[in-house]
Amino acid sequence: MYISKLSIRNFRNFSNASLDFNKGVNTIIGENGSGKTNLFHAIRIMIDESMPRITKLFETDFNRSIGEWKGHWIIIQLEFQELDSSEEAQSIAMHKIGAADDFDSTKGTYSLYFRPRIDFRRSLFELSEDEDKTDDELEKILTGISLNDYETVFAGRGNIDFSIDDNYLKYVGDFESITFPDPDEEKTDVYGVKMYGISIPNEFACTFAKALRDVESDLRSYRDNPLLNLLRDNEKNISVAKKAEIEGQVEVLNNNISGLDEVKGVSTGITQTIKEAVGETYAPNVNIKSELPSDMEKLLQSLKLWVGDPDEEGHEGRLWELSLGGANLIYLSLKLLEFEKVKKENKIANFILIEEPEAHIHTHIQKTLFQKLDKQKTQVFISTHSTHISSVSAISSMNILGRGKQKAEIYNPSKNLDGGDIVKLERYLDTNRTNLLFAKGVILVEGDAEHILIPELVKKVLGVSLDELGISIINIGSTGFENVAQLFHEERVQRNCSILTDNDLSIVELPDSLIGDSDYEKSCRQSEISGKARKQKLDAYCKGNKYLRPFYAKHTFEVDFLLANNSFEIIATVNKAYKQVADKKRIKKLIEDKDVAISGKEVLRLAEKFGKGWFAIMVSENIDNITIIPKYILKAISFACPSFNTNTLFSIAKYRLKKLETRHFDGDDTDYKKLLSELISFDNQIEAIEFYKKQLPEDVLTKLIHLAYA
Amino acid sequence: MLKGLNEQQIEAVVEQGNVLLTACPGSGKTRALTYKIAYELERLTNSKKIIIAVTFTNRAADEIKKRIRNLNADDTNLWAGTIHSFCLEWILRPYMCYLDELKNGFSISDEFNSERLISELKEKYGLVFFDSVSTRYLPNGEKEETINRELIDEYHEILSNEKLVDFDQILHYSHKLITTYPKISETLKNMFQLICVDEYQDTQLLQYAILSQIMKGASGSCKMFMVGDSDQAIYGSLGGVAKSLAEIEKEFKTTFINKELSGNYRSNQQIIDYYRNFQTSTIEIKAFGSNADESAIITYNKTVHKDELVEYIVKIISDKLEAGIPEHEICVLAPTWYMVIPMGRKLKSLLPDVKFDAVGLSPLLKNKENVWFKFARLFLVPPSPNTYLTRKRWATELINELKDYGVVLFENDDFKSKTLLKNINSISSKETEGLNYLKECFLKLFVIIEVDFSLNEHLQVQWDFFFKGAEKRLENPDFDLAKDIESFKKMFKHEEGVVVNTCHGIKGAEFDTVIAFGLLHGKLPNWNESTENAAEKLLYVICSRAKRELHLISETGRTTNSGNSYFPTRQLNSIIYEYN
Repeated sequence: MYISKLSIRNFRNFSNASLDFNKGVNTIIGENGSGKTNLFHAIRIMIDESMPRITKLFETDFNRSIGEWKGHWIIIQLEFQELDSSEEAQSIAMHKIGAADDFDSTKGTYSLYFRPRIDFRRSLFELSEDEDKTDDELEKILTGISLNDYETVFAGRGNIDFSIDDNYLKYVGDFESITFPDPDEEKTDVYGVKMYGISIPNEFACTFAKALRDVESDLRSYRDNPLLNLLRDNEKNISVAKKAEIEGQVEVLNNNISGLDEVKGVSTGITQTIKEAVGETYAPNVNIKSELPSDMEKLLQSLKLWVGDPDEEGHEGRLWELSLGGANLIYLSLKLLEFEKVKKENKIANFILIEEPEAHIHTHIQKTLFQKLDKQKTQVFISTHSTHISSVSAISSMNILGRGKQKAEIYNPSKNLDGGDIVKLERYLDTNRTNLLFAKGVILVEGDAEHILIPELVKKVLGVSLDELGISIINIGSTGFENVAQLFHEERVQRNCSILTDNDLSIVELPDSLIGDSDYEKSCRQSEISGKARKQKLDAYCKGNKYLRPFYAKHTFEVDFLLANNSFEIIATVNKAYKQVADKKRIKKLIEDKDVAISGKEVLRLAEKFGKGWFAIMVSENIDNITIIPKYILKAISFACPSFNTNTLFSIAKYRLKKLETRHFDGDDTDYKKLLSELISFDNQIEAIEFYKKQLPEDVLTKLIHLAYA
Repeated sequence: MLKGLNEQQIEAVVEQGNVLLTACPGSGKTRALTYKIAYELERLTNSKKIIIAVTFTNRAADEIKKRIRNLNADDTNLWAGTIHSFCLEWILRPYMCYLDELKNGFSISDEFNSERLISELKEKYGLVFFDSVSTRYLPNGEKEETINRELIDEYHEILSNEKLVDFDQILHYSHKLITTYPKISETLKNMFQLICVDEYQDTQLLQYAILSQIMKGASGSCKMFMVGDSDQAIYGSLGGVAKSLAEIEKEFKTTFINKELSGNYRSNQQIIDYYRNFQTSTIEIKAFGSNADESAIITYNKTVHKDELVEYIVKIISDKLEAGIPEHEICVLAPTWYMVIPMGRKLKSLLPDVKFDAVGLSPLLKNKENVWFKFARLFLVPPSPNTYLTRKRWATELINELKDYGVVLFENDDFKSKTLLKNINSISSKETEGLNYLKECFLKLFVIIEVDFSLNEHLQVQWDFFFKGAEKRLENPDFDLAKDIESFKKMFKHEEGVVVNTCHGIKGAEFDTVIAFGLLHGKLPNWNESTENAAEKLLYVICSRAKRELHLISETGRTTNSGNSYFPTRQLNSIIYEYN
């Protein structure tokens, strides 16, 4: 049995979220503040018996995006799969949470409702039945509700996923149209059957390893000392065969210590002094006795773990001598063993929640840590913000948390992909880093040139890095766009993805008839035809997916870069690369030729000669603030960038003006210095940017803003 | 731990298969059952497994729990209760969502409410008071009543409109659930280690069907342990059927091992030989007690007139007390409440110095499952060290029940039951009439705990049942009930003294001297008793209570409503015996 789904409604930064989980190890990836801890908290409320027995939620636990919380419900739901009633321990789970839709299935649900008590729900229902209901009356009922009027209800066998808006509106209530369900219709087939008696968390073994913790003290404390737990049997007793013998030995030891002459001397001394002080009649008898505990349980508390470093044979030290990572490793292993040995028979399932293991355990160990896990009985949840750990875990058991406005966004990158695609994607991601899963927006390119030049262009022209804009540029090489782009989808990663490629229109004008084409023309025509086909295919692929958009260079990247009025940069590159003045002159002339058939051919020749990647590196050295970003690239950036915040725009504006002051096109006599001082004198950044747009309508930043808000 | 059990008992306890234990009167049946439970509790290897004890009354369940604790066994994994509580807790509540009839919630129509509905309907359909209509269902899902089918259909419709479920429907719906969803049986069978059934001879067909359905679950190792005595099957009129070993095996589709407890530790051999006259089985019963060879006194009086009956009984009681027999070793019995209650009152007034444990009729007793009855008993049983554990358990059960109704008490309190008791103990009322007293206490309590129960459908409905039911009983001149609060409180007080009770009420008990009157055809057996050998079985139960002395009375002078005289019970009158 394992948790296959978690649905959260209105809890903390989750307005409505639903996460799918798999057997075995699951990873939850998210940047700081994306709600990883809240998510774990939600799971723990449901399954961790060490949480307070009474689940009390507070105003601050309501998601802020719902506005006024009064009247709303917080709902946390777990769905289980592979419930097996013939498995003895699981029969309790089956009894309490087995699915409501069809009891023969192996699914089960377990829900927490934090909702107004029935009398308030009844008033809401009565209002909704009233023909002349008004918002004011609703308001009146709602303002009368306080947190004390809320109840926490656990239910099994629920049959509705409340993270789906329609369900929430129907079964909790629609505050807009003032329609609320009748609470006296218990509808146990929808909400589930209230739990009483058996407490579900008690039936699970749940280990939570928080991000920062003191393993040594966990191991030392009595209650959590896994060593003692490992010695206990089913009845929680520790039975030791030689118990009597050892207890006897301790008694002898105690007697021996008590009988030491030195000890006796002290007690005689004390007795003597008292007698002298108060006289024989009133003096109490004093004796000194050794009291080493003779109780087995107390004796066993002296058991301590000694560990040796694999690199340092023969040496064993106490736990604290070990690195933090090593100690954590041992802690987790002991917890696993404890479950295997002690709890397996009596507990329904074992869950391990590890918060940010990158804080303690080296990536390589993480990779192997859970590989030998008994996946039937143990499910692991790992939360991380590390891209390293994500590259070791499969995307099929991965959920990505994104920070949205007042609510978290959740992506499951493999949802509804077929198994073969998933495996291939996982291989791809494994070797190519996984930062595309974290980016707020992505630009996919298929060549080194773009991969090298575009970040440099943005950095030099706009003064910010792609990272700062939240954009990752991924070179998919020869993988094929579709294979990677399928990640970005309504059902999966809901992030914008620009696909950047060449349309390969011929740079030479081709006659209508292909008869009589020269070899060069032939290859141009061939490229043009395949380019057209590729465009058609890609356009069709992206159609209907609002997260994907293709952007095409008319010819090829290098040619379009040149045509964007960047001959200066190319010539500067050539001047550095060639020694002979004649070569420099000849190439300059070709590059500056108005006919793209000539200049284009030359720039392609150069790229060919140096290698496209290397040539791009060479060009990148000559890029500066007045280099022009080709329009299709600018469009791709604007699509991939999730949103330009005012701060960023303002700093770009500042950067541009500062740079333009010293370097601008010949003949440009704009007083950039004055503009800059005017810009920074604005109190309001939005106004400052408006000013910038008005003053410099042709500037790249102005164009970018227009594109972004188009 | 099996010390103190005889060989037969030990054999039954340690047997690991399904057991059908037939136990003759006085053979230590409850003892064997308790030890079996304790034995299995001790041997539980899986701490989640539950042992179920299905008893005939709630009191019997309490008794088992008490005895288990006295054996120092851990009763965490023991569940004990009536078959109806069993069905509610393990089948109806957890799986209600699968039945359209139940999924929107339900309350229990208590005995009083159901009786009131039925008697109203009888009037409407032109039936008279003693016409019997059955509200039971058969294992095939059909209603048992065929002649007055329309009446029953209307009755069920009224219940369903009010989202009520009566006791027979608890069984019916449970059976429907577990037969429709075999997974439920499988799940339950896996959760249970053992199901014990006490007094199996009084089990209804539908109840057998429910238990056997669970045992038919696809997996799981749950075993049955059924205890009883077919000779003591006295609930035939309520549908109880004492199935034979073969019938049980057929029903459960599995083998049972038949064990017997044939040693009687209660009566002397002479008493045993006498009551074996009424035995329908052929099991040999041997007196094993230290009193085995003592001689008995057995009398049969069929001449005393009903007006001299009390004096006659007073004489026997006085003689016994004089002879040094303790009060609680004497018992006065009759077949019906109508005969017992006036007798108790008269005995008390004629023997003012003697203590009596006489059942009175409480106006409340028909509402035992009612939540307000459960509040009432906490107000009526005064706190004392003796009652502490019981009251605490009642309080816990009450808090859990309220939680089911959506009323959460003392949410952040770790000692909820203690807090509830503390609040209850702090409340008093100056009202002298029992019902007013309770009403005021209830209202005060709900002010203290800050709950407006009028908003809660369940509590409101049950409030009406409770008070209307009690009022109606108080008004009934037949019962002649005392209305003052002190009498109310007495209902819950178990004073030791001469027991005055009905034949059914003394099930399982034993006395030195048993005095039984009203042994008249029409009373014993009752007119509408249709079960075979009903009279023999009741006589068997009555006589087997006695250790040493038995006084049987078929008094003269009683007449039916139409003026005909009652005659002595034929099955008794026809016995040829040399009475003392």
